[in-house]
Order: sequence, then structure tokens, then C-alpha cells
Amino acid sequence: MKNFASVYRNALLSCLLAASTLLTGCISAPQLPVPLTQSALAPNSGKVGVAMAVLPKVETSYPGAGCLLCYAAAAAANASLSSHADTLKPDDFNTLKEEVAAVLKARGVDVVIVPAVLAIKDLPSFSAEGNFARKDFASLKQKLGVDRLVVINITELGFIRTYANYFPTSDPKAYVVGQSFLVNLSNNALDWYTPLDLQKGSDSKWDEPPKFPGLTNAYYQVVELTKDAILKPLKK
Amino acid sequence: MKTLITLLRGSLCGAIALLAAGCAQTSGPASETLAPPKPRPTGYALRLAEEDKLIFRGVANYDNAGLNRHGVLYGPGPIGFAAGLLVHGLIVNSTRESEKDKIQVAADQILIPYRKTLDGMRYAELMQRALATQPAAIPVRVIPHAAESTAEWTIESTPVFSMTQDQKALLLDNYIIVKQAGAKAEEGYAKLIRVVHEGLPKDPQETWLADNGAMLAARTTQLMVESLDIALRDLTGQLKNRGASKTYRYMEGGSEKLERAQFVRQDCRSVLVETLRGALMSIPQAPTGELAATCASSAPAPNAGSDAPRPPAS
Repeated sequence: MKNFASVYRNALLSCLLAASTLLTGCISAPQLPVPLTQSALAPNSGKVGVAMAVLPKVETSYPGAGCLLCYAAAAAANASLSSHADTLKPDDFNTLKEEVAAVLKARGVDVVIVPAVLAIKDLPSFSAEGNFARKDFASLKQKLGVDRLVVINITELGFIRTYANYFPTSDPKAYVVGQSFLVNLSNNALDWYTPLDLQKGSDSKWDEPPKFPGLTNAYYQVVELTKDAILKPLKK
Repeated sequence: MKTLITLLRGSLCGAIALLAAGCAQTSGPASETLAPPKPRPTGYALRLAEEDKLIFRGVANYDNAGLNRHGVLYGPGPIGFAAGLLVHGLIVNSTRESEKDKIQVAADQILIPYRKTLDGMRYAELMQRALATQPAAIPVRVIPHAAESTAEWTIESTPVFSMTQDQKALLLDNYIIVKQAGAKAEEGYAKLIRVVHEGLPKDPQETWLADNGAMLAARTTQLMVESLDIALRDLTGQLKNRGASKTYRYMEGGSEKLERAQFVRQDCRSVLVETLRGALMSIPQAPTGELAATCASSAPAPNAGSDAPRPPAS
């Protein structure tokens, strides 16, 4: 009963989240990719910080299971995968800041790794026409002592299985959603912006409880592919 | 609220059972790993497969498989709803399997130029060539498929060779079972051994088919020898140690692949890892550090080719 109540609570939260996402989607268009401004990462371009936002918990997501009962059915049908997701950690991202810093150093950039976790949601909102960050990062210029900041923001991580109400319309896949960008702390302009939305399925069968080795392998693969998607554009 | 939860639970029970039944997939033997037998064998009989023709496939990419785009019609009332779920489960399963079959058939097209040569390659000849090298330095003799084994230990090997889509590399999935005479089936050794070979540098089709497929014969033999060597070493407890898990990057022909695995051992050309499914996989990877220096000093002459013996593993 406790588990069921938890599923019910998650279902309710998910529906509210979906509704809020829909409403928000009506008023703000998604930021399009911005190719790297090469001069922003030149040896004389000033000090560049590398920061990472707080990593999300590894979870299972069921987009398309729109109604309360649909979500509860999806969550219950995938309960063992969801339990397995709870055992996975996003630890392979822990070295990413150092890897980004190494790439920037190879370009001759003066790099500083920001040790603290960046709380992006706590920053004030920023609104301007063009390629500007949606949060105001300017306050970090003095605080971190850098001119530009590379931000790695992973917002969703785990397994995704699409639904049409009660019915699964895909096998579960490992997935990562987020964005990585370079923001000029003088004017909040984006010198680079890459949306991250990567998925990887199991190489053969997926339904192998309790450890789901095929999907777990896919999870680690998609983590590596995400790192590649962040590092590759920064390389000269 | 309590009533609502009770109602939800009642409606869900049947639905979940049907969903689970409809979406579950069957487990194959490839993921099965049994505990190796305790005593150290001193000799083996390798039983030939019933089918003498070797199995070759094209390496398939299933990244886009498992996407079911069927609309579903709800029946009226609970019976119609349950029937809808059941039908949907059946559609999902059959669609998934046919989708994967189609992907494999498309991947196999890469073998068309090689078909005549591959059709002439025989399991018995491959095994004779492989065993002549005495993998793991333990004597192995070949016996026909139907023959009674008089040896204390019998090996059954089911090799499936695959060619990458760029035709540069061959890899082998060899499901190996080793049974002791008189022992129960579950007391035997059963493991999938995968060996990925370094890719050919250029003109793969021409290189594979030259001299009546001499390179194909040499590489398939080499892959078989390596898989048997790994299995026999594992069986005799020589590959007990496991390192930390990490995501390995390696080349499969011209494509980079990723595999989460635990380190087992490294030699001058490859690293042996244990995958999350418990398979042992040998992947091409040059060593670093001290072993790299040792390998450089003991490297074979440039004309020795890739079939030259490997320096000892670490």
C-alpha cells in the first residue's frame, strides 16, 4: 500500500509537471544551438571557469502516460526497472569538469575549475532578444573571478519508455537530457550552446530483471556519448 | 483518497499482468554463466557441431529497434479494455521481433560478395586448424558430433562470426560449454566468449578474398584459437581477478564502440574484460605504461603480420 501510495503521488506530481511544462512551453521558445565563437576560447580571451549544475537522480520516465491511472500503470509495469535505476549513480560525470578543463587548456585558455555545484535555479531570470542565457550569470563574474563560464547542466538521466496512455510505444532506452553552454559573464551572451538529448537502447534484449545488463550497458554508453557531445565542439 | 487508491489498485492488477506478459522478452542462453568446475582438467575432447557449415552474419545496429508506432483501439468496458491490452502486447512482441529480423537481414547483405567463399568454410577444418595451435597449452582432440566421448572433459563450441558493415573487421561470439563426464549439466562451464579483432587497414574485400579467402581462414582460426584459449584459462582458474568497472572504448572495424565491463587482463594487442552479462570479451586495445614498453621491446618483426604469437599477458 505504501508503494502504491508512492506511485500515486509520483503520478500526480508527474501530471502537474506535464501541465506546467505545457503552459511554460507556450510562452518561451527553446534555445536553439549556438555554434562556438572560437575567439571566446582563445589564449587571450580571459579566464574561463568550468562549472557543473547539480546532477539529477537516475530515474525512469514514461512520457505519453498522460492520465493519472496511465502513469500509475506504467510505473507499476516498469517497477523492477525503476528499482534498478535507483541503484545507478551518475558518478561517471564526476570527472567531466576536469576533462573539459583539459580540452580548454590544450587550446591555450586560462581555465579555472569551479569546485562548487552550480545551483542554476537559484539565479535570477534574464530576458533579452537573441542568444542570451535565460538565467542571469553576471553575479558569478566577481564571485568566481572568471570572464566566461562553461556550464554543464544535466537535467534528466536514466531510462525512458514512451507510452500512448496505457500502452508502451517503445522499449525502454537509456537517456540523458540537458544542455552545455559558454556564457559571457559581462553581458550574459551565449558564446556556445549545445542542447543534449541522447538515447541508447539495449544491444539485444532489454527485459532482464533484476540487473538489466543490456539497459545498464546502454546507460553507461549514453553517459559517454553525452560527454563526447560536450567535449567534441570544444576541441580545436 | 483511500477509496481512490483501492479502486486504482483493483483496475491496475489485470492491466499490469497483461502489460508485463505482453512486453516481456524471453531470455536466451547467451547470458547464462555457470560456475566453473573445481578440478583442473588435463585433456579435452571437442565435439564437432552437427552443422558443418560455419555461421556468418553482418554486424547489426539495433539502435532504432523497439520503436512501436501502433495506435491502439480501446474496447468498451473492462473486457474490451483487457482485450485491447492483450492484443497490444502481442502486437508489440511480434513487431519487435520482426523489426530485429529485418535489421539482421539488412546487415547480412554485407556478406553477399563473400558468400561463395564463406559457404566453403567448414567447422571441422576450422577446429582442426585452431586446435593445432594448442590453445592454453592443454591437449584438445576433436570428436565427431555423434561420437561418444571417452575423455573426462568434453567441449561444445557454438561459434558465430560477424563482419562489420565497413567490412574491415571480423568478430566472434563463441558460446562454449565444457562438461565433465558423469557430471550434471548445471555443474558444467558455460560462457559466451566474444573476440573482436583489429580491422584491416584498407581494401578489405580484396584482402579477405585474395588467395581463395586465405585471410578469412586465417582470421577465423585466430579468433577461434583466442576464444578457446580464454575459455580454457577461465575454466582452469587462470582468469580469476577482476578490476574496477569502467566504460571501455574500442574499435570494431572503423566504428568506435562502448562497453561497460570489468578488467580481466591486458596483453600487447588487446584487453580482456568481463561484460555486465558475464561474457568474456577480448577487444583490441594497445597497452599503456610498463606493459607498453615491454611489448615495444618484444614486438615481432614488421613482416610477421598479426598472426604472430602474442607476448605474455599481464
